[in-house]
Amino acid sequence: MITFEAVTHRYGALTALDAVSLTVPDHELCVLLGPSGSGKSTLLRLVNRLLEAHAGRILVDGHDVRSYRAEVLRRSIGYVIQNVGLFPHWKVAANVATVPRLLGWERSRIHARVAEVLDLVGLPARTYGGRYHHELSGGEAQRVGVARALAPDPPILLMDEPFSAVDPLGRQRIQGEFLEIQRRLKKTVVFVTHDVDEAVRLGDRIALLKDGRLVQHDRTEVLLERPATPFVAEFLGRDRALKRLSRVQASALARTTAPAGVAGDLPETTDLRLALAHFLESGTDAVALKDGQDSITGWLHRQDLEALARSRGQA
Amino acid sequence: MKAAGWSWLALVGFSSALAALTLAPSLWPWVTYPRATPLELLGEHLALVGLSTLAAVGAGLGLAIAVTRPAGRAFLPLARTLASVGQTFPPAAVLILMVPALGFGRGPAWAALALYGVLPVFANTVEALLAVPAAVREAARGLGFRPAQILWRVELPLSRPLILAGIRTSTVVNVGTAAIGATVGAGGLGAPILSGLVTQNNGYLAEGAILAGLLALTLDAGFGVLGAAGDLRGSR
Repeated sequence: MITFEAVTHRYGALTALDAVSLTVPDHELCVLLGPSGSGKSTLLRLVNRLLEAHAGRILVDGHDVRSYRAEVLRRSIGYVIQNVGLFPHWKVAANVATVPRLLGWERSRIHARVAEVLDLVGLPARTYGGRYHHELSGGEAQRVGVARALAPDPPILLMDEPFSAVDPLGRQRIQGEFLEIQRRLKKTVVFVTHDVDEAVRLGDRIALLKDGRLVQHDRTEVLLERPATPFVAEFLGRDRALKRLSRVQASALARTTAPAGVAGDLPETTDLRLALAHFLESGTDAVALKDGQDSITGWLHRQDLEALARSRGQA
Repeated sequence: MKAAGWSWLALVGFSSALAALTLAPSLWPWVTYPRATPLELLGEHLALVGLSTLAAVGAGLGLAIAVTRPAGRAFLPLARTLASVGQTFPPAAVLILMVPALGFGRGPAWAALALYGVLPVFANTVEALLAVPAAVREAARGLGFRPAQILWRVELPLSRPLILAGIRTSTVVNVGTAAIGATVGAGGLGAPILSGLVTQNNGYLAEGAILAGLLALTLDAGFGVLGAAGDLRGSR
């Protein structure tokens, strides 16, 4: 658990963070969202003491981060940045081995762990372990960056706009892959982005910042349903209803009876936003849902979907 | 690989020519400089260049590292300006200016060579360290490297090619400047050249000039080999 207690940080005369209090529960992904200059990156960098708070405290599992030596603290927290920062003179395997080596792990353990994390991010060590940064695509380099952060198996991961530099198509893929990894590993993640769609897709909860102040912090569904201020509503966009739908899988609304007027089928893992698109395109009122084995598991009714979109306040 | 091949070829060629002419002076019977054998002259010259360049490399690296650390950052602009102004002085001028300060002999020559040799090493090292991408440094810090580890394991290895180029320039220029050192009584391969000029003896002149030229070419080719080896990159 990460707790920010009335944290203030200044750059000279400029107050970048003004008494921000925030708790990130264990095993959840908390997105720090906000326009540029809102202080979200600053807040993240206070956790591993790349910056120091001028007032307030930051606790990791109840311990003030200032009670550790900065380097020791950083080695225990995974860190991924936008421009990856792979060491260009080291091969991929050596890059991933960075923190385990700093921690003095045995060679055989490092070797096994590097292979394991590279597999996890979909870059088998046999193929990619011997490459240099300049031999990787942008998406591959960022996957290596994630692998490097995960190598020592830290409970906490700090990610500072990690996918912003990847092209849009690649970004969607890497987001999906990262969600899969996060579902398995259940790390406590603080994730900075200015991209609302990314925040909605990845965040268990979202903390929205503006001008160094925390405007609203809630579970993602709650934030979309009940924006606390006009700024929040505006920042999240007028298509909040669609964004909410995008977070729910079709199987969640599946009925067991087949209605009249069924047309077509969708995988049951389809999100409701895509299901709505299907209804709009096909002009039908229900669709069959299929599992991975191509057998029908239920039916999605358009009226259920619309009812959910209209509902407010039931997260 | 091709560049490395040529460097090796040049190194072997120039160094064997240099070895042949110093170890078997009978190969060029017109050489008659009486006060020292070619081997002794080469030895003096190498000592002068070697020691002064070593000092220059130490000082250049040290200064460059110092002014790129947070504590020394304030001196960076001044140091860069001084270094680029310093390099506009001709080496001979630096040498001559040493005489009123330190007198005649090996000392002033040594000091002048060391002083002048610092500049290319310093300038290249500073540029190389400043060119390390910010993201790489940020990642190193965020992953938990100590400042010294960032320097030794990230910054210096990444700066290696440029630093090596600086040392190469410094060494090769110093071979030539050291020859002028004879005018302030430093000995070495400049001695027969000076003597040849004064007495209009082309044999003396050729002996010093050819050996100094071959020495510069040999050292230059040696750095070429070192640099090419760096391009192949270690595994870590």
